[in-house]
Amino acid sequence: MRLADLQGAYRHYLLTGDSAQLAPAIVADAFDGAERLGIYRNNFLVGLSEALKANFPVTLHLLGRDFFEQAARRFVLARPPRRPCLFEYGAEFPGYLSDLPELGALPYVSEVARFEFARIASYNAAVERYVSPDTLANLPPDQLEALPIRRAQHAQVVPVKAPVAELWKAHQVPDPDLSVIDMTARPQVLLVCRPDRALVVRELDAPAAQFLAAVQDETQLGAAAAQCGAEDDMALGRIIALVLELRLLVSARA
Amino acid sequence: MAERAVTDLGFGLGLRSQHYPAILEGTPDVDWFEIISENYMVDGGRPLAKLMAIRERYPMVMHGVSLSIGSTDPLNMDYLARLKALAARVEPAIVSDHLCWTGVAGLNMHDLLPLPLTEEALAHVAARVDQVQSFLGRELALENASTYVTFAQDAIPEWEFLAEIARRTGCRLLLDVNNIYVSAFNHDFRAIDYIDAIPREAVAYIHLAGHENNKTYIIDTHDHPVVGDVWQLYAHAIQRLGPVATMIERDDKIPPLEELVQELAHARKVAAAALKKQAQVA
Ligand SMILES: [Fe+2]
Repeated sequence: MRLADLQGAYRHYLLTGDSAQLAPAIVADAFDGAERLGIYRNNFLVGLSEALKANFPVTLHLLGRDFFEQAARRFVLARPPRRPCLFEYGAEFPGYLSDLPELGALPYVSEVARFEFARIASYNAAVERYVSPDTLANLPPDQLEALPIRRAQHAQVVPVKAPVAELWKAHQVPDPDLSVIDMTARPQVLLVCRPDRALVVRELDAPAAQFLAAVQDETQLGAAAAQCGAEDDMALGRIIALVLELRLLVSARA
Repeated sequence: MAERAVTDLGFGLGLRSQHYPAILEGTPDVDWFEIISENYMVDGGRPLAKLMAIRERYPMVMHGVSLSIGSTDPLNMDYLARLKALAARVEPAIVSDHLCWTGVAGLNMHDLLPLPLTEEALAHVAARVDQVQSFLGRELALENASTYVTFAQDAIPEWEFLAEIARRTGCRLLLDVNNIYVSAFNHDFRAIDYIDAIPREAVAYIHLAGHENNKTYIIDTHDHPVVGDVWQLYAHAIQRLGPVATMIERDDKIPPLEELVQELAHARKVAAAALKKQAQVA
């Protein structure tokens, strides 16, 4: 078998468990080819399930080890990783969980997973050149409106219905007591960001959430301000103070 | 920090985040650290800050798991660019990865998959090592992985395969003595023959690790202390190769730093005794 064909057969085996093509290429001795190949398939599935456990520790606790491992294995086979770094693996896992019929009664689990992955993405995001108070102060007023801006990569916005931040916080001690958490659904928009070295989580009010939605792709400061629905200059001032404090904006001109 | 030749680094450990405080607050008896390159392929944040704080005090080696040198997919140039950027930051004594492939058709399985040991694979890997070394502008070291299968079409013993890649490309070898032991057990060859066939000047450094032996085949788990047989094999390697930079790898069930430093002290003793024996024989 040519190398490319062998690797194709290997890939097929790892993803399906069907070794019909590959096993004949493997030397059999005391153990047949399928048995030896099983070591690789097991390493592949266990290794990536463990990586998901590391990336989603609170989700793991909420689902319990057995259910999480089953879901993780199915996810690994359905959406195997393409990227070289393991900490980047699992962006689609929250969406996968939300589609599982077994979790229909527990919609907050996939929201927690989404929050956990947002933390990882924020933590590992590139450092950029952020818009600072000086950037704004040094611009002539007539150029302020036209300032090209977009959201910094570390600024992750997570809309949720469940008390996700509270659930996450409760899990920062061993044996969390979840009975004290009010699970009543209350739509809110969470901001996860890393202005310096530590992660910061904030709940956003509606104008701030709309502002950050408006700057997801590059736009102009004036346009984003007009879209955010701030009722007056004070409300807008609060948003600007927030994005400066948490370094949420990047500008081509910063 | 003045750099020494990689062979002279001394005795090192794999850097694990659990040990950051113990490393930064103490003065552990460790000469250098090996980092997992992919863990630091980020453009900022806390991991990189810790890494650079430790780098200021210790020489480092970069060890990757996602190069996939044996894959028939094109080389991932985005990955290589990130690897190169990290190397520019860390200024490692050497950059290493494994003789294996990790995926094909765009996937990365994050497992070290075995290559058939054929002329086709040899030519393929050698050409890619050339490409990687010229892109990075530096030597690469390739490590022997533990394997659990051999292919019916295998035509070249693994030690000759590695030696030949080193000869054709000028790359270096990272000799994992534990992996040699594991593969020898699983495929019924003599581990000593493997070590004796490795060209001395190609060896950049040595990995030591532990494993679990379930008696029928050995699965390389890197989650135990180094076993007695592997220490003997290591002594043999040092007697044959002379002083070589050596490190202990522990990937799972990671104990306190102090425990690994003690195990490393044992490696120093084994190596010193082996060198003494070598001098007596000579
Ligand atoms: Fe190794």
